[in-house]
Order: sequence, then structure tokens, then C-alpha cells
Amino acid sequence: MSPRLSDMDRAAASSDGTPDDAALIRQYRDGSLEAFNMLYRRHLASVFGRVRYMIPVEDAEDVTQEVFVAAARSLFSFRGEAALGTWLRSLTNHKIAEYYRRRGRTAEHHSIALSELTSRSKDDDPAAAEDRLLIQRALRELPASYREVILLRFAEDLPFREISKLTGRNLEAVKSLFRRAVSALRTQLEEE
Amino acid sequence: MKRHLNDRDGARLDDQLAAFTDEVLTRAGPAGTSAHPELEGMEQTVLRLHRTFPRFQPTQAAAARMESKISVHAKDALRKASPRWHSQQSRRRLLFAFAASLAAVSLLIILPSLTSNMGSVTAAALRPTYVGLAAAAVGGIVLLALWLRGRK
Repeated sequence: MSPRLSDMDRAAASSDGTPDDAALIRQYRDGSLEAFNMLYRRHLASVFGRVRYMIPVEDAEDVTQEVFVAAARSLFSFRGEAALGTWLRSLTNHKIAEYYRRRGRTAEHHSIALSELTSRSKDDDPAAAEDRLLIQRALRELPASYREVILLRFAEDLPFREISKLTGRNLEAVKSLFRRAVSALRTQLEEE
Repeated sequence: MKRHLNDRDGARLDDQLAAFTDEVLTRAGPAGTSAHPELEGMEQTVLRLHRTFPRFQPTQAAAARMESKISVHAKDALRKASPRWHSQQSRRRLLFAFAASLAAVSLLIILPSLTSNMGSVTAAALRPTYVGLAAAAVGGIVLLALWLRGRK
């Protein structure tokens, strides 16, 4: 599996001989399936990482697939105003929200017993699976900006400097947002 | 987060928590937690997140399985969208070529009249010049509009 690339790395991918995202999108629109597969391989780690943080493990693969299928259909109208990574991130968030809507909205989902959910998980360690569900639930309860900074740092493994460039905030503001986000998550977990 | 921290304390805690997180995510072993009670609680949350969601990427087999399923849908999307996409593109190219030709022909028409009538401007000489100028302007505007649309 290829190491995770930042949006800037992907944009500059042409410097190491591989086409950048924009070139691959053009090739895909011109009929190249291989170009889309290259985009998939390039962005899989970050999409899957984000999905895995928000979706029960047994459904993570399906939701990841839904993200890329939606991308394949929508790339023809993608105008390139934002980096492809940013566009995919918002598509992923949309699919995650859709997943929970499908499951009967958050309130109903909360009424499902944790023991029932963990029993569905393929995870060998029920305690870890239960903790994962608790954290996923707590993350969903956070304000979007808090959730986003946690996902960018943990799920996508982006350094704070990269998050700063991506969000247009200065580094100090990103670190401050991160601390407030972790503090809110901690409070949320204590309430669970 | 209790709001009794002043800005300097807050900024220091921001830096410390960020540095702690970097250390946890870049090192295999857990980093030592802080003696600061507020920071210590947040560090425990960072450790819990890291422990609960260890670095994990889909296996080669899972990635290949997803790729093959996604490829089927991508091929389908390509088949459905391609004619529409290509007809849009060829319409745009055709319009661009028409506007460029209009502007070029108009300029060819008006340039001689501009140079020959420099000193003596008559109504008869002006008529084709104005028509040419108007056509060139229309061509120019269409070209500009297409260029701006292409930039969006």
C-alpha cells in the first residue's frame, strides 16, 4: 500500500513522473478507466482512514466503495475549484452522513444497544470494538470543525502544518482548535 | 475546557498537546503524559484515540477487491457520461472556432478600410468598417465568454 500523500504532494505528483490529479481527471473524462484506478489508489488511504474513524468496521469497506463510485459519477462535473483531496473529503463526509441517515438517523441509532453492535463486529476484542463505537458516537456529537481537525490529524495523519495550509488557518489557530476539539471529545466521552 | 487559562497559558497548552500528539503518532511506544492536570486528561484522550484506531490501511486483497467493484461502476459512469461530455466539449470547440473565425474575418475586412481612409473619412467608407468592427466585437465577446467559462 502506498504511503499517504498530502494534497500538495498529489498536486505535485507529476514531478516524479506520475500524472497529477488534474491530468488523471482529464484522462478519465476522455475515457481512461486506468486513470480513475490510479486516482483510487492514490486517495484510498485517506478516504478509508476517514471512513474507518466514523463508521463501524464491518461497513467501512462498503462506504469507502460508495465514496469512489460517487466520485466516478461526479468527476465529469468536478470543476477543479478545490483540490481533488478536498472534494473527496467532503464527498466522504456526505457518504458518512448518508450512512447514518440510512441506519435510521442518529437518535434511533443511539437506541441500538452497544452490545448488539459489537456482536455484529468482526473484531476479536469486544472491549476494543465497544470503545471504537463509543468514540465514533462521541465524534459524531462534536461540532463539525472539531471533528474535522481530529480526523485530519488522526484519520488522515496530516501534520499540523499541512492542516494549517489546507484549512487556511495559521498554525497557532489550528493547534488551539485541536486542543479545544480534544477537550470537547474528552468531555463527550465522559458523558457517554 | 475551563476558561481560566490566560492567552499565554492557552498557547503553551496548545503547543504541548500538539507536540504530544505528534510524538504519539510518529513513535511506536506511548509518550509520557504531562503533570499538568488539564493537559494530562487531554493526553489520555489522544492516547485512547491512537490505541482504539491504530494505524491501519486496507490490505492489498481488500484494496484490490474494492478496486474491481469500483471499476465496474466507473466503467458504467464512463459509458453513460462520455457521449454527453464529448458532445459538450465538441460544441464548445465548434463555437470557439466560429467566434475566432468571425473575429479574424472581420479584422481582415476592417483593417484595409482603416488604413486607406485614415485621412478622409466618408460615410460610405465607414459603413463596412462599423459592420466589421461590430462583428469583431461580437466575436471577441464570445471568445472572452468561452474563455471565462473554461476557467471556472
